[in-house]
Amino acid sequence: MSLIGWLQIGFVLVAVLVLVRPLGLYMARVFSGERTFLSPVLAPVERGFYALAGVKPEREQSWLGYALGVLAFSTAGFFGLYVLLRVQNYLPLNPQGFAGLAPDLAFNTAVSFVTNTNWQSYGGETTMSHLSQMLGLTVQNFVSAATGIGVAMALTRAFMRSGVSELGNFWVDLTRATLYVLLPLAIVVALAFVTMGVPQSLDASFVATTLEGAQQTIATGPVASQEAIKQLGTNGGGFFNTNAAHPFENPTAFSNYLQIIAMLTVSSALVYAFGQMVGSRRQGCALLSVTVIMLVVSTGAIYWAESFGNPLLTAVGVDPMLGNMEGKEVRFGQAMSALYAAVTTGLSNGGVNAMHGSLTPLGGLVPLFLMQLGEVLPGGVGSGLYGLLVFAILAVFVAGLMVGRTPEFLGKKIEAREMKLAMLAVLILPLTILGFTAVSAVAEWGTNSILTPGPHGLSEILYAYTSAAANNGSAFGGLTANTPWYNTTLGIAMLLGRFAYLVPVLAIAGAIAKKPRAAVSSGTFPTDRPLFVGLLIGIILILGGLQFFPALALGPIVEHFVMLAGQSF
Amino acid sequence: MLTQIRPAIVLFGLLSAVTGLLYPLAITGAAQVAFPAQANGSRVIDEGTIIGSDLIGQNFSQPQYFWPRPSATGPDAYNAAASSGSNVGPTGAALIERVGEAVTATGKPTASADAVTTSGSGLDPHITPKMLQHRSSASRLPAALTPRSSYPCSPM
Repeated sequence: MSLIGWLQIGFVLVAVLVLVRPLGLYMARVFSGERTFLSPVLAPVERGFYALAGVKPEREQSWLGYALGVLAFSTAGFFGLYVLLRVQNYLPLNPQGFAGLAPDLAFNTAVSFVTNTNWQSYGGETTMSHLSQMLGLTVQNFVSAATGIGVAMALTRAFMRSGVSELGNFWVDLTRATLYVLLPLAIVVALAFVTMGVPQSLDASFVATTLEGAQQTIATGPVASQEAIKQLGTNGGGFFNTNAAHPFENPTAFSNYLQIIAMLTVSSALVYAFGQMVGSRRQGCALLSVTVIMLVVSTGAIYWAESFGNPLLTAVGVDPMLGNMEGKEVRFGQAMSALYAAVTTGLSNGGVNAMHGSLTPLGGLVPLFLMQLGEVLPGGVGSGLYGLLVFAILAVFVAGLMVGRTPEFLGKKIEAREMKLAMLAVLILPLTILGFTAVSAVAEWGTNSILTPGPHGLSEILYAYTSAAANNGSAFGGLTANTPWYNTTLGIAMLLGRFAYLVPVLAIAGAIAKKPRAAVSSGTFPTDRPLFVGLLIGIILILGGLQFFPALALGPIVEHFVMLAGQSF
Repeated sequence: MLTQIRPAIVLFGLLSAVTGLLYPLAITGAAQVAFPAQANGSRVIDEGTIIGSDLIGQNFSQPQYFWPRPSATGPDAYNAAASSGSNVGPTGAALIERVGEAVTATGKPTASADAVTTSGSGLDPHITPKMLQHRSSASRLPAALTPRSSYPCSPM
């Protein structure tokens, strides 16, 4: 670890915190239906969309109506993308002449992008036509993120209102999130990426003749436009097989800063917007401090583990000074690889600038653990905020039990119904992850895909289902996931992780919106103070993390000690 | 439920047109006009021939060039049409064996970590000064070379 490394980490985090306030306030205006500086341009477009779609923007929906809207839109998106991928060979903008995708891969990929996961069982530059990248994947990068923002805003409104059942209009939230928030940001970030060297053309590749006379075919394409929304929408699906480690996706140290800033800012700003909208910016800041504290600690842990290097390699003559460089790029180094790994899994991004499967056992444990916490640091665009609020509800409940009072959060009493729904949501992750991992670890169709045997093999499987269920999308890439078994089960895990979580959250929102807002009294547990921050961190660690400890002990933790003992597999 | 189907399909279509066609094509147009060099892959052209990309590493084996890091792409190293890392885990015997052989090949007892490990992309265009010192070809370095934090293995 070095001072320069920590300075870079500090620089990126400070840049994000500077951007959070203006963007958070802007988003609060957008989702309160107020005018913004983009309204003169976008308001007519928006009205046109509603007219064509038969949407009455002032007519709000109950939690059930909102949930049905989410499901209907996601279903339409799934079928649209599935068909596009299957028939890409008959469509234009396919300069390499790639075939249509096999049914299981098309299913997996369609689910993956609709659920904001962006798990990729394929290599982008060897599978996807430009049309599929643009009209298929880029579209879902926008709208799956916008869907998440919508659900987060529905839950936010539940805390703002009392005695009503309406939570807003999903179609309005979806349209506004796309047009007013994601699209303008994506345009700016995409052009910035181009200036740094990220290609943006409709060519498939060009051929270079090296100075030694060899031929090198260099794949390119419309990369910058996808890279921008991939980060802003916390999607993570790369244009190329090796994602943001590829020099065309992430050419310089500066593009790497911009990538991390882009992925962190929208999610963090939503947490601030939540505070603004419920009338307590302090609440937003308290939630943000939870995420900052946990992200810094996680980054430090990865940075430390990776800087230490791999003792098995030191034994065969590798100088440990640079740390573990397998799967890493020289232009990022240990500090920026560590921060990227922590942020991409603390969020539900899943893009990688270093291969997570080649991280040291403890360095790989941290991203795995962060995903298992439910990705609330500050999580995916939208999904992170509602995940964080579910944990906040659990935290006030635990605090209420300790002092013997009915728990309250922002003036709303938390009662049996909300608790049951919150637990239902929180239990989806362990059920999906541990269930599928257990089957895959003993069945031949699961273990045949392992690249590195021994404890790392279990980690590969555990990481895959964790990434899918948490809607992250990063991978221990050694696992051959493009098989019918993994494509199908990972697809199911992604669906459960997205919708079996999102629907209970909307049901909680429906219940909370109906409750009266109680006045603050001396007996109210303040949820905007350091005590609550500490409590919330504890709840996230215990409830989110502890249930996975046995599995982690058999995977990365065993691997760490085996590595120290000098054994390889 | 029926009332949800029309907005779902119509809005999916409209938002697809805006974000899937209009947005990437507009960015392509703007990039091609304003930043054509970067937008087309930072090509390096020498006397009319493309000799590579500024950003993509290439494999060199002759002593007058900087040699890049090992690459995990297949079938050849530095295949820029199919990027790939090794993805092998830290306790993989395949990793230890491969790295051990690479250290032996340098002819020195120890090697810089970047010199003997594969990068994430398999296309890493940089090497560290440490790696140059370990390399047997380091003695052939041009005398005027200024110290830097990394050196390019792509034609610049």
